[in-house]
Amino acid sequence: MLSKNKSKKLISNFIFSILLILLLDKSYGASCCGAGFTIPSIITSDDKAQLAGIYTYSKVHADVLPNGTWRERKQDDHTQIFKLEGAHIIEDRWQAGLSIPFQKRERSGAMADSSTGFGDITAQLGYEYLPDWNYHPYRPKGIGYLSMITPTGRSINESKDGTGIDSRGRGFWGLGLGTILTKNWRHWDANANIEAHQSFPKVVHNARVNGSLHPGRGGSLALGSGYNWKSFRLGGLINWIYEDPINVKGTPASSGNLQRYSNGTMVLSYLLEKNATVSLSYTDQTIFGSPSNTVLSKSITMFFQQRWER
Amino acid sequence: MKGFILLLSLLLGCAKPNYVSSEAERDRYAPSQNACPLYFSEERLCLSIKWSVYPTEETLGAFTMTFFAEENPQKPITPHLTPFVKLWMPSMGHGSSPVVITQTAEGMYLVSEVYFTMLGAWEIRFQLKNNTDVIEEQIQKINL
Repeated sequence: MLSKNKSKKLISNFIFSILLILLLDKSYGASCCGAGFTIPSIITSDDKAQLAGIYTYSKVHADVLPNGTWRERKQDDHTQIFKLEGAHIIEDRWQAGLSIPFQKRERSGAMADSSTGFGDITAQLGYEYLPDWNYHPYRPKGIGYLSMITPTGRSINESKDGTGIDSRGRGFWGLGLGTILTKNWRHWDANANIEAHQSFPKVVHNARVNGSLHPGRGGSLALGSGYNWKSFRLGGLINWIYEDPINVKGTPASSGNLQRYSNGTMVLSYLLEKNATVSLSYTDQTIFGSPSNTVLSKSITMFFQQRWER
Repeated sequence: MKGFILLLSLLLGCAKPNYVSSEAERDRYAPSQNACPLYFSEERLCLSIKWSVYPTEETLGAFTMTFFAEENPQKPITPHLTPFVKLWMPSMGHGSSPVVITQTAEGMYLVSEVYFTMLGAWEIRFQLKNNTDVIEEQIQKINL
């Protein structure tokens, strides 16, 4: 039998681990170009598998120019994202995951229009390189992962009519490498995610572009913390995202500007019975950091996740 | 330790929104009032443009472009090559929807359905084409 303290600690760890996912796997990119690089789904608990349904309503608030000036949007431009995320243990400390976003984007104004379709589908392979078997006082649990992003969401340069309404992704193949670190102390928890990725060039031939697009590298750093009580958790997370300029070679040619923005997220989660979790979160890209060359949005996300024990 | 605190304060620093309306910056990239605002050496022609409807989030833009010889601005001349207009956002490396070009008179063209997919700094690229080959290109910046 486990001692009362140890049981509490186990439960606390368990709650924290699954709630952590709610914070770590969100990334909201510029609306013109779809979402940025994401971590699809990672099991940070001791479960065998997990499946999540996620709904996000995201509304564009402003465009930020490379020189730092902001332009507030007057017309509505919003996106609803229905995302299915799953992950499964494949061998002891190895796991694989998949994230499939389906989006509906609507825009009013001079060229009012809407579109629906898949965003960029992301697959990931994770390895728990730093297990937390003995509840070390400060050593975190660490999971490394390799992500692959597929350009199923179509880039704005491949938009059929050029208005970009049907652009729901960055539109580049990409490979990312990152790590998630988690730690908790009694009611409090902390987490970090560091990720770097390389997006690969692609050739585009249409009425607007005749040449190749070179997106370069990018990365993100997320730091978060939360307070747990009973079956609830209230958490906060800041995620800083950077992307290299997109260099266009051909006609037209342009060297581009780097893109930078930050997500500030507050999340309230509740652990249901039978290994299920619900949460509600608010993400605002206008609060932190020094955004540049991007589109800033504000989002609300509802999340439901079911897990299966080993 | 000082470095860590500095890094933390930089990271956690709040964004400082510097809202500037596109109307306020419109004049910054207004078409030049020079005698020859855009010059195409291939045909030895100047090009001037005049907005009839300035593009905003709510409205599609339209402008007139007029080709003329520098020594006689009052007499429009139709170029031998085909005029073409392309909208391009260099900071993000993408274009926008195609415009409609209609010749209205000798050397004069109405460019309509001018739409920019987002606010920011754009380029209007004026091209002279021989079939699909761009022979010469001149760029006018516009800040929305």
